[in-house]
Amino acid sequence: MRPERLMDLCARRTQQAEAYVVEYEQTMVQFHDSRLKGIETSRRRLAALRVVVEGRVGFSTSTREDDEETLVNNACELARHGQEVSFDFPGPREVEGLPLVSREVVNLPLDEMVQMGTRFVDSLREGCPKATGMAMISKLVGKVRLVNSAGFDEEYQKTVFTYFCGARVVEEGNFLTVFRMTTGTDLEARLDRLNREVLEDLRLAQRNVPLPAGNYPAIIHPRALPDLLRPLLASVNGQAVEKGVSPWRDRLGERLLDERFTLWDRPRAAELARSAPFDDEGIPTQDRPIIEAGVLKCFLLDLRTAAALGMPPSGNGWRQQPSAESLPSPGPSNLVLEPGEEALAEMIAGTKRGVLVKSLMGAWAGNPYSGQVSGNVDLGILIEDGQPVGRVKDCMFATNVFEAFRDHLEALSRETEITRSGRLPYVKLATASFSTRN
Amino acid sequence: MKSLLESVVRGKDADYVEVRVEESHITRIEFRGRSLEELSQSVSFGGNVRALVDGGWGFVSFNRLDDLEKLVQQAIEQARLVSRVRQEKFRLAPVPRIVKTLPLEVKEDPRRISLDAKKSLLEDYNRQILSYGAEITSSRVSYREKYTKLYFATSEGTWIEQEKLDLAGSLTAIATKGSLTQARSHGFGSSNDFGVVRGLEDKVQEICRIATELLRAPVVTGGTYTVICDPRLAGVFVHEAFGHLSEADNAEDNPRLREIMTLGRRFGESFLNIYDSGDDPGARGYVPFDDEGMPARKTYLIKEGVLVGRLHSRQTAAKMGEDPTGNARALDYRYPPICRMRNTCIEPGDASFEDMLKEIPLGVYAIGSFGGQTNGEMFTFTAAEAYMIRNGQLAELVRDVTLTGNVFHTLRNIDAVGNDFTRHEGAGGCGKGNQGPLPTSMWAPHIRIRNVVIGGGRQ
Repeated sequence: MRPERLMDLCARRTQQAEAYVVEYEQTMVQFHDSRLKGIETSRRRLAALRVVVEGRVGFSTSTREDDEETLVNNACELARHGQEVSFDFPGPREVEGLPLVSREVVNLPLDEMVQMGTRFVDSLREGCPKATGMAMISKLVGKVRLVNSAGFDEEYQKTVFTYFCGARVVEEGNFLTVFRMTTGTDLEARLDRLNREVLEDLRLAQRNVPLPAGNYPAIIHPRALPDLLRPLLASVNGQAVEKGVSPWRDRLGERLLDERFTLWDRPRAAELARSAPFDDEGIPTQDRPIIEAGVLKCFLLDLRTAAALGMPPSGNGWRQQPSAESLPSPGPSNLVLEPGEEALAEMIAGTKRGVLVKSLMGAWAGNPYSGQVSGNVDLGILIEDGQPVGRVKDCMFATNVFEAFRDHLEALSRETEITRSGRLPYVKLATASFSTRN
Repeated sequence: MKSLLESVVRGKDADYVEVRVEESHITRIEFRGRSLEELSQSVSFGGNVRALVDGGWGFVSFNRLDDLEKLVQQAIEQARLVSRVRQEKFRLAPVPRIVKTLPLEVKEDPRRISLDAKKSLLEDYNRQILSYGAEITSSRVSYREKYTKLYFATSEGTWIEQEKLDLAGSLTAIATKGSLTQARSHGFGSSNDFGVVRGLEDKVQEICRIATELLRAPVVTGGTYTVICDPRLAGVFVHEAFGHLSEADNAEDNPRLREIMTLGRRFGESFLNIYDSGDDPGARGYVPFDDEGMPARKTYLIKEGVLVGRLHSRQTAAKMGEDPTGNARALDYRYPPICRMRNTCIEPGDASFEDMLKEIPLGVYAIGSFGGQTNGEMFTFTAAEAYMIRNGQLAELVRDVTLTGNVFHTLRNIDAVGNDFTRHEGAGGCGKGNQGPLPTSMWAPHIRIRNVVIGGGRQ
């Protein structure tokens, strides 16, 4: 659909209007059980229209190419029943571009994507014959355009490359799954390292070791860390603040966590997957600390929650990616937790008895505002006298992250990993609860 | 549409070609606190082509029909590339050729109810939650309805034209005291009746009461307990702990897993019966024909404690030399069908709730769920509400109860199955790969499980 046409149709019928059009093509190569399983291509185009009529908002989306009138009619009809709005769409802004398109990704041939997966399953066949490999190599080339009645009209293009490699060992009474994943706007040559790490995890986890229930130090892998950050992010989300359910609703400017804890929202880190020059409502993006040296610095706000709280929007109005079928809502872009001084090897060496938590299962469930995070240790490596000794199984990890990141933060590693959430270090907690059968 | 789709799948240089085109109308209404957070309608029109060429799969999905011929060619070329690399070829188990039109059969049709009436109904519930008492500080009331018209054609001559409906929602009361926030929800859903959204006033009172009481409940002490799961949680348990393991695409190419999942193997006591069914009208997991055109078939997974079946697509059925079961499902046109559950059930046993309870000196009664997950061998889920059981009696409310266990041990540890089979439909959906939430159902009675690890506060 053409945004110009939508704007023309809205001009007479609405007080405000905003058209968001996303278009992309994604190609995915999938390996399953160490074999190429299939190739999938998606070609997608969607228009989302938000209008304000008599002070009320209406929102509708369509993937139909040709029917601008219906989309406008639907949005206007919905506005009759919609929520009253107290914000205006932003007008023309100085938008500073970001280098989000990698020619290398655009031109990445299908054959080469198949070879990437083949290299991984071959390395696995050699390094750990009893494991079966899975891999997913994806490239996405997309375009976003946002136009509104206040005169904002900008677009950007973007590529996203994603590489996932994993392995599974199935034995009677013992399943083991390990994986690595990276994603970003460019095609970085780190795939061999990830392939090696999968083999290393298989080696470390080949022996199961008992752990008596108790409280132990925990080193949280960057891949498991988002489960622990979830209560923090839920608490800084403008919706939770506005509704009064965030425990941090009145704590802006207060020191809430350890002073080594600095968490950034970095939408302008061009190499990370969730970067954009402006948010999905037309607010230019800005890198900013959410928590700086343990002090709560800001809430994540879209236009609506910013207006409700009487604060300026923070450029965190995002739509579901990549389908964009819902209204924008506040959320982080790329999370960057500032690394520390200690090397991961030192962290491990300095652990008398503790668990390296590489992935948690089910820890996303539950009520985030309590700070309580509880999940099955999907992959955990027991460390005894500074040495990894084997895999801990049948074990629940639990901690209250509001307390843990305030009182039990022992160290942050200097190594970081790029994950789906952003760039994160390893975090060592002095104590966490591990419930086991033993 | 029929002639267009049939013409593009015929006479291609491929072993098999299918095309699916659908148009969905999705309505979403959501209140959070006092505000109407979302009121939206989406039209989602699109389709896909899936081609099998020389034993390799290619798949292309799209929003525009105008280049359909080209898209079919692209899927075929991708399939050819796969078959060149992949040595072992995919095959398809035979299915009956179906030519059928399935109109929607509804009780109360949500399409005949005005948006205003739907909004008012939900707004009423929201008002009731927010006026419950001072400690209820916020709410979430959500409703989603999806009506789909679907066209499906294959190169084998199957043609299905189908209307589908899925509606679901939830009411959540959020209580706050100081820095502590607790929530309790009630979910509902249906594939044929808007009536399930009506008459929930008592549920509103109940969730408000529990959310408020949770503010004063202690965190459960972590440890190993005998647990009674209520029918909702038992449903989540059978789905997470066993349903996913029964999806044949896990095992088809993995010899060790196939060995572990050998039919005839004992998984539980003789009173344990588990099945998956697609032909319960009204259930969100009602799937009369799956997304490969296979008619629904009630499939026993465990009969009298013994593994007797699994959930197949045509591909996995061919690979394992078994019959397709009608479990090949795609979330929508953006995805290819994969092995999924429909309505997964634990058959009722003969234990009464009182009998289960009275034999437990120290245990946990876990009710409802915030969600769960499995990795094949281990599962975990968080109860929405839980009580300690002391000396055979229900005792205090506790919070933050997360259960975990090994699928195989836990099925063996089910030592009682209740006589109170409950046909409950929830608001949630199932996720697998990147396809979720897919509407599924999980019906069950109360069950009792020994030796469940519960994560919680410090010991």
